[in-house]
Amino acid sequence: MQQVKIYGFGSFFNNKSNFHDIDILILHSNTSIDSCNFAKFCKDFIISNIPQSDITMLSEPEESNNSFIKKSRAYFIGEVLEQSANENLINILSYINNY
Amino acid sequence: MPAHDDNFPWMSYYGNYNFFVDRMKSHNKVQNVHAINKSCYEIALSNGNKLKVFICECYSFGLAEFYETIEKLGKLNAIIINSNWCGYTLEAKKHCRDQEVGLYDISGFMAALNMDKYWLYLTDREKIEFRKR
Repeated sequence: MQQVKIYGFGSFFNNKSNFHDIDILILHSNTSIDSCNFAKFCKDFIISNIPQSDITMLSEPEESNNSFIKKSRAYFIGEVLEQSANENLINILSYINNY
Repeated sequence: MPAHDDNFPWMSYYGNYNFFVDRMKSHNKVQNVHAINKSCYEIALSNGNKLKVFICECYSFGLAEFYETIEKLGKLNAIIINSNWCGYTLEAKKHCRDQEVGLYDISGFMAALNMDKYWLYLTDREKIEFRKR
């Protein structure tokens, strides 16, 4: 079963009054094509609902090597499990929209 | 300065890649640069080869972005990450090399164009990192 973690970073989450776009990180489990495809599914879902989102996708090993979360000061928003993806994504969209 | 939005093809913050085009035109191994669209170029080399090149500004170009790019654009010879604020992962670099696709910043591509097997080019830092693995 695939799963991703969603993080927010950048001006929208740090200084909401002056933001250019909504930066989101989709952290997926590994570098397999299935894991990448699930990340792309989540990306497409978010973009279709939040067109001004700017989404980065990284696997956990990739993120671990470049410390993206630390460098971008991203913080955890929520998790998306394959078996409940739509419900989880709707909750994340709601969180962002109400942020 | 953020990478520009438009989740694909991650167009330049300035809306163009003029710097990249100018650099390509100045390379002694390049005969011609043809814009296929705003983010894809055909680079004609002096050895007769033609490279289909995609350039983008993506915070951290990883494997999932590579799959996404190929899915949308088809086969590419090289992917260039523009801007000092952007980069790519070593995992994506390794996978691209295995697929004979170059993945670099602009200066890396400039150096790689001097090699017949341009996709194998590594920066000094990448050579060290790849030896560790």
